[in-house]
Amino acid sequence: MKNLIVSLLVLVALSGMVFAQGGSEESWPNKNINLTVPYNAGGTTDLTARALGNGMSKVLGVTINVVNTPGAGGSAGTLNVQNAKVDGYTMLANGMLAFTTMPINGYTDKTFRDWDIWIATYAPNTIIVPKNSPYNTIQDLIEAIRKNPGKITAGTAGIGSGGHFGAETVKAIAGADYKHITYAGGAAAVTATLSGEVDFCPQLLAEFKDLIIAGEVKALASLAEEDIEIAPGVVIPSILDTYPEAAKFVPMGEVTGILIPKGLDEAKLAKIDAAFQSAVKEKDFLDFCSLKSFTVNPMGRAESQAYLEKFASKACYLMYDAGATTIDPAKFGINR
Amino acid sequence: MENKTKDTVFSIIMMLLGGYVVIESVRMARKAASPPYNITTLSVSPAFLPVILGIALIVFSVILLIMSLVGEKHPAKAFAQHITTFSTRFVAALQTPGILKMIGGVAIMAVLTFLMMGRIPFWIGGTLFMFATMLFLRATKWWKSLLSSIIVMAAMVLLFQVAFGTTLP
Amino acid sequence: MTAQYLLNAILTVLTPINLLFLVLSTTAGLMMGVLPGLSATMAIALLTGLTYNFPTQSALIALIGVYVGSISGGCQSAILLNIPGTPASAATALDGFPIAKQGKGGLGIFLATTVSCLGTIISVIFVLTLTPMLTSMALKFASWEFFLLSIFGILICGAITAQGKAVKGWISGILGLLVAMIGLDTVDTFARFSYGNVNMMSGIQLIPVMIGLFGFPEIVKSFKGDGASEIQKLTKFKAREGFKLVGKNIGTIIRSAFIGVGVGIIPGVGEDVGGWLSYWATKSLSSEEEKQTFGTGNPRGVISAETGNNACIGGAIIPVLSLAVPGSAPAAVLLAAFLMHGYRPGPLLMTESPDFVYNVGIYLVFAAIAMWVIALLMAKVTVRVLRMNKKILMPIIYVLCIIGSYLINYNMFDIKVMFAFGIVGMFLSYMDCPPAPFLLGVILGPMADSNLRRALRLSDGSFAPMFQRPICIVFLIVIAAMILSQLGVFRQLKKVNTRRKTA
Repeated sequence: MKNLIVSLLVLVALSGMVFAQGGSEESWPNKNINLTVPYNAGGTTDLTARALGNGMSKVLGVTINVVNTPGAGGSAGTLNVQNAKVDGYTMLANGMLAFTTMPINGYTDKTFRDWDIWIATYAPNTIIVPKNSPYNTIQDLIEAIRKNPGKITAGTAGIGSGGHFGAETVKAIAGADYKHITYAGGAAAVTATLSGEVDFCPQLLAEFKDLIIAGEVKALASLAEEDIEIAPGVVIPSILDTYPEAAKFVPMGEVTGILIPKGLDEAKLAKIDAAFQSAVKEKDFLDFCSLKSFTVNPMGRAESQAYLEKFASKACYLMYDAGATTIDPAKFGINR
Repeated sequence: MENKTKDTVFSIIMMLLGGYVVIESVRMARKAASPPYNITTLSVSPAFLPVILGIALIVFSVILLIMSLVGEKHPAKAFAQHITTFSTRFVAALQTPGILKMIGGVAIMAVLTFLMMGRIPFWIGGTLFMFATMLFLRATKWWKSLLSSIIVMAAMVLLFQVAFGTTLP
Repeated sequence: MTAQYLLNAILTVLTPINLLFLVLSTTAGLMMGVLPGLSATMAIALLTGLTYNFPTQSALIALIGVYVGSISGGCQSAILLNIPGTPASAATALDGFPIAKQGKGGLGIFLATTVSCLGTIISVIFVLTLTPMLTSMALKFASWEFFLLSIFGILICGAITAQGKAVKGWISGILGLLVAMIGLDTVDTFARFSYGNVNMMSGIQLIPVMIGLFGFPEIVKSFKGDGASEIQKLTKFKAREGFKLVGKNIGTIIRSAFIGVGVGIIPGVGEDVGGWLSYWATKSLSSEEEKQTFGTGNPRGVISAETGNNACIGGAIIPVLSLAVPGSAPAAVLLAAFLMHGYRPGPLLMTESPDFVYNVGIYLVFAAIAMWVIALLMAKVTVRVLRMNKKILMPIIYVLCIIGSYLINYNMFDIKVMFAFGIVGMFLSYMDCPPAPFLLGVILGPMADSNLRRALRLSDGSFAPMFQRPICIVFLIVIAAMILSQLGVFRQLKKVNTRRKTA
């Protein structure tokens, strides 16, 4: 008898929950939102997404669950969101380098123009070398690449990763090729630099900032437009100091934001706008960004699209000209 | 004896699989050698480890086959014997009630996995599945089965959706 | 200074609210560990979201509690049902399940839990004393070493599990490695064995494979029995017997903990390999007679496997603290959680927040103790599973398997993968082929592949560097010796020699 009563109670509770979930469309959001991160937990995209999601959930009043779906250079998770129902309960957080080059890498026919995008942060590429490396300035490295084309090794997190773009920029400046060694993620590439397995690592500053300050690796240059002071007395020179002709490539770095496939109605989008604008002003988020040396650079939907037109052109043609892909960006209306 | 029979059949199946892997890997190596990849050296091609694994699979299967035939006077005869013993036993096993029950159970599991998931809410599908399987296996009285299915499902929903805050299928 | 930090950390744990967090999180971790498919990685990832707004120290305690709990909880389902709760406890099932079959499930869990606790605590001593030195050792591991280590792990696992016929275990390992090849490769993003399917391109997930290989056959096997006879006897277990066994094997425990810490430190290799290596070391160091008893319920098997996988926790945290490079998958999530709570593990940690290392160490010790108490309390309930009607239990477990597979990526495809590998698992079990090397192959496959190709690319396709690096040479010698001895080459040589002498 006791068992029966307990089970009945549970049933009632259960049905209550089911009804609570199937609430009306008007009051979006009325259940938890899944924020897909197409990389492993712990990476920079993941951390940014979590910090941002936390701020947004305060305004939206529901929990934002971060779902990590790593695989295929970030395209697996992105395609999951692209194919999911556009109801505002599935969002994507992604880095724009990999995202804007997805069409020219043959993953999809949709471009950034098919998404609503809110850009939050910018993190510059920085070129580091092991602490016992013979290269002490960016000039040493570029000269070495020019002298031994195809011999100097660069460790990155893979094709289409932020580091790959950094390496391609170096190649464009040097006018000679490097040897691309890919790792399972930014952390693994940095570890390989620490152990001296690769000659240089052009990943994002955020991934090894503390190692630079501690002197475990040497920072040669950043691909930002200006010098960056990451700690009192520790300044990373901009590549423009030595190679002003690189101006057409910089600033190069990862730009991270929140994305939703187009098709959500304006009322919901406005709610997300508000949540986003509030989240990028949260103290937690700003603290996180300064800890990681991210530049907070929030852009609304319209602004992001305009920014990405230029950004996508730069990123796609860098890859196309480097021969990393054979699909012409012009096919997707991305012009130089 | 029993073991050697199984080893013989197992090694043949694995040899075939190894052959398939090698063929597929060679095809892969050719694809990798053409644009856009242009990787012509086998040792850095994505097909490198698959080729090695395929060959290793064949080599180990051959060793296993030799081990299962070694010591026989007429290896060829023993080989044929193993194959026939295996197939007759396999067919015979398919007719025992225990195995039929297993197949039935797997079929119910397949229905849940492939037909119900994603089409109907998880808690309905899961409860139905547990109830159906328990009925099929005659685990206990039908109302007890129904009750325990419902209680278990409620507990699962509580645990995963409420306590851990995840979304169920 | 050090004493001050330690004292502060202990006082922090002992506040009522933190004790509550510790107990709750350890219990949650244990539950996730027990349930097949909910891995430690996922447990920490889920909790990271939940603890976002907690006070920092409470959040750290909760995260560490859930880590220790989930790695340790896996042993219970491995011992009772032969379904490892987490991949890390696959080695535990080898001897744990036979022990439970003998009616000593209580003893098995007691042993596993106690040595898990000890393993964690020993690893903490390493964290607190040797962090900087061990880190530089971890950096000696480059691509070639990673490749050989993964091959070594699979060969060991095959030799252990195949009961005398190592070739079969190795075939199983190769099958696992092949499954790991499916999908876009990490070096060139080249699609392998994926037949144009987008889901297959993103690769086969580990957890569905594990559930399929281990859980599925156990579920289906239970269908054919008549129910009543399936219920196992359960003799009452005496704690004194358990402590005696632990005391007798203290040497084994310390050795396994050493191995576990070592494996944990190496980035990317984690709890799952730690258990296998310790098991192998114990088995190969024991007498010829005793070797026969491994796999049939030798308590030392359970002891070494569980100490090994838990000692990895401390080991994996070492590079997190000193380099911000995680030593295992769960530690990677833990690193993210540390960052989110405003700590920056890495080379600056000792100057910026020197108390942090001691906090983590003390929290680990307390979590281990809490885990021990709670797990033994839980075991009083869980051992009853053995007495339950399998025909009611197993359908329930299958539903849990579906949930576990789905929750990895919230992807329906993973459920189908689980079912497919269930069929593969049935086939392997019918053919008397051990599934554990298969699983380890899937775990280590990506590591073996990408490191081999990276190494070859660095050397322009030359294998020469493999024979020039000291750690590699050690690996090569051990691997060659193992293959030759398992295939009976040494025995044959001896025979030939004696024949020659007599002739």
